[in-house]
Amino acid sequence: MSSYLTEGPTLRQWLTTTDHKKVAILYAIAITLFFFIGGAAAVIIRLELATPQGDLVPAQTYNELFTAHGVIMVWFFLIPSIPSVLGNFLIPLMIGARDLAFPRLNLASWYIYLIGGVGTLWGMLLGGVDTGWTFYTPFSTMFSNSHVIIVVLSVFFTGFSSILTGLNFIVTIHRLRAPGLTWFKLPLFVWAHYATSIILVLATPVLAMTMVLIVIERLFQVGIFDPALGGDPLLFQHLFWFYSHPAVYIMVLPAMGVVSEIIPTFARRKIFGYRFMAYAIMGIALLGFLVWGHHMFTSGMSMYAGMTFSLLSFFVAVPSAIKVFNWTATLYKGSITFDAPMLYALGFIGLFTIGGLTGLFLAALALDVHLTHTYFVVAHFHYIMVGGAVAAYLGGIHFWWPKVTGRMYPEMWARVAAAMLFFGFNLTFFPQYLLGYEGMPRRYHSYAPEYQLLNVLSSAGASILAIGYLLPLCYLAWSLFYGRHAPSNPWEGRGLEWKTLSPPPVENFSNPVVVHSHVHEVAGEGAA
Amino acid sequence: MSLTTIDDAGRLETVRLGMWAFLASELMFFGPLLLGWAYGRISMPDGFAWASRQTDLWLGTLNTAILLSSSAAMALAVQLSALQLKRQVGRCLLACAALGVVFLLIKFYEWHREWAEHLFPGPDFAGPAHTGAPYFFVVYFSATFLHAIHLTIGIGVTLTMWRRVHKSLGPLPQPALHAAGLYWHFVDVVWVALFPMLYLVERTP
Amino acid sequence: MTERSAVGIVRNVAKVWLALLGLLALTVGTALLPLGLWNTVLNTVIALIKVVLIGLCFMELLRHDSLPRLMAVVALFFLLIQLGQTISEHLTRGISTTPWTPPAQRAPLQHGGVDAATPSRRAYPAPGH
Ligand SMILES: [Cu+2]
Repeated sequence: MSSYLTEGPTLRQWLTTTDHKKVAILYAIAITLFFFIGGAAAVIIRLELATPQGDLVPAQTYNELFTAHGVIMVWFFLIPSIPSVLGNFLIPLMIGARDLAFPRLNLASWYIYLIGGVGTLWGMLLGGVDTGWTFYTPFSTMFSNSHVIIVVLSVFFTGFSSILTGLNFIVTIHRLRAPGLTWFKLPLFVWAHYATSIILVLATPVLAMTMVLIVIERLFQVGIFDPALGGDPLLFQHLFWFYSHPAVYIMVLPAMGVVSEIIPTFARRKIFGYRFMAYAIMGIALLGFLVWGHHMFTSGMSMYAGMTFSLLSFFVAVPSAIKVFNWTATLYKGSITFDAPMLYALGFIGLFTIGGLTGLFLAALALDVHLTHTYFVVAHFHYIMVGGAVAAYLGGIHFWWPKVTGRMYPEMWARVAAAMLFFGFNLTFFPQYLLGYEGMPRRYHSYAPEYQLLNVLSSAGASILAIGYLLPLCYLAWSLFYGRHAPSNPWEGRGLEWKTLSPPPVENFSNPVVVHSHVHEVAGEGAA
Repeated sequence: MSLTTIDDAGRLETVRLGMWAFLASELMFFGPLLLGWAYGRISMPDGFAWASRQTDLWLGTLNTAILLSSSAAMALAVQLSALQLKRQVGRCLLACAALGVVFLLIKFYEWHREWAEHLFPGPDFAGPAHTGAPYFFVVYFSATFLHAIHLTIGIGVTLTMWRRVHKSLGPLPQPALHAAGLYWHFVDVVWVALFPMLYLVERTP
Repeated sequence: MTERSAVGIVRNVAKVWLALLGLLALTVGTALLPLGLWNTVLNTVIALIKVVLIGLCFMELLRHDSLPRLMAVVALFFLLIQLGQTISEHLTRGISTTPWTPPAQRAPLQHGGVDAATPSRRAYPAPGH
């Protein structure tokens, strides 16, 4: 049987494909591009911050740089990263389906994403946006002289690619599971993507409408959020964070899904507390919708709402902790091997835990007054998004690389890259916790001289981190041509995706899939 | 027994589920407008009441009746399609789309009048500038405009369905008809919510 | 689906249609009475009844597939969460203040009270830059 990679190889066939595996690869190429564009902005930011004076770029350019970094990394890399690449490729394989429920919609979502991305880049090239990725009003609507509208509309547009992906996953997971594959036999990766899809479908449209309202207020100079014209700026923050807090879970839940597949495989044990892990995923998704106000404690919001939001934010720690404990318990008495995916997954657990715990600092009302708008916040969310989501994404890419490409990556280089990512990341962002605690505000291109030492450490760490990102790009590309051919199940994984060839045939499986037992000890009938 | 792909019997349910997921998303899309309205209604009640009285109650009511009727026509089309009554289904779809067009024409006329009466918020707004009246009209124009865009898409979809029904030789395309119907009813539901929010805040002071 | 005759279908849809028009008349009628806040309450209740009617009878939420019902309920739930939490924040704002409440918000904000000519307000249309 021919693999999906050799079937229909022309560019035209790739660009019109409706095969979920190929669309996943289209997504992978696009988000990698955006990752390095967003990363380039971060490089200039870290270079600027190596010295206290604002000497490399003017303040305005600096504002545009961190906005570009935020917008591109959040909407054009992190949000689509694991769902649209790994989820897209693996969900049908993991549930024994031929494709997603709506294959053409899947391709459409990639084009929508691409058009939004090009629009954003165009806005950046025209001169950029200086509002920060949060687009706070009334600055973004009444004061900023940058290219807000085009970027905001691009983000609006890209939202629909998220919605279509989420919708497709929900319907696929409900309707296309193989016979016998009941909900509590599903891999946690699929559970995580189900929860993520609900967030994608229900939260993204709120962001979309908020972006529309920005455009209306800015174009017609009417009051929606502008207090001078009868609007309420907090209304904007409510709407923005109603999406943007759950958006964190759009990034982290799939990451948890990836880690929940990697850990049992390399510890050679069943995941500990499978049902609780599934409940915890759904719990996080639900609670994630109730806590957005913790971004607004010092905005002048109601004290009582602040207390409620603070309390609810603390509740999120419960399911998150269940997950961390269960991953750890899975390791207990396992025969662990430290292949690269496992290194990334272990890194994820550590960094996510630090990021999560410092999140509790920020969710505490009084402490937040001291820490908000400082580098503490920057460090916190980078621990979650980079230490958590990006590490898991890279772990997942390595883990399923043999399945996706049919080639093995060079193990030694991959371990080096994983280690560099871990150390580089900590060196970059741990000093930022200290900087924030000492009061260095975020989003300024110059700072008081006493902060220089920690900033230099951070910039040094960023250069190591950069190599940690560039290395995989090189050796993974190399492995595409020179890597060892991969067997169908190189890690002795237990999921259905390992029962088919590497790379899978166009039809995913050559024979019907029937699941008799728990998916982690699947007795799939007659897979290839 | 083959890989789980969607067979014809399951296709209808799959499409319905997909459409409902999309409508759930659409509902949340209109959420911020509802929230913006509630904010204005609570914090600037007088301006809101005044502004609401500037809308044309009778045209609004007429339009609501038109849209409710169009929904009934759509429901007929979808339900009759199960009986393969091709001609009747086609007629219902056509009636539904026509009612949608009439709605849009009336809406355009209303907008035109409101524009002429300087009710569009801005420097030459005709009402009290700082009591919530301009805010009401921001919500009014945004909401009705977005609704009109949805309705326009709905008319396009309905006419496409009509053509498919008209030209089809075999059985009627049930899943597609159901999806189109759900979308149309949703647009109707949005208007059912918008009508009292925009036209009926406090008609009599 | 159960076998139904065309006449039965038309009759059913017509009933719902008449009910919807009746409710429309009711909501417009009560809106003409000066009931103050009760107008909004009545309007909301009537609109909800109409929405439920359309959902159950036209959108076939009572069909045997239960997932669309779940979707509708979940969406409504999260819409209410958004509305409820935001509005309750707005209603309790300014009842008491914290040491870190910005001075401008210590007194309940007068809407439109902020000077419209705040410095560096953007001239429109925006000059490129
Ligand atoms: Cu948050």
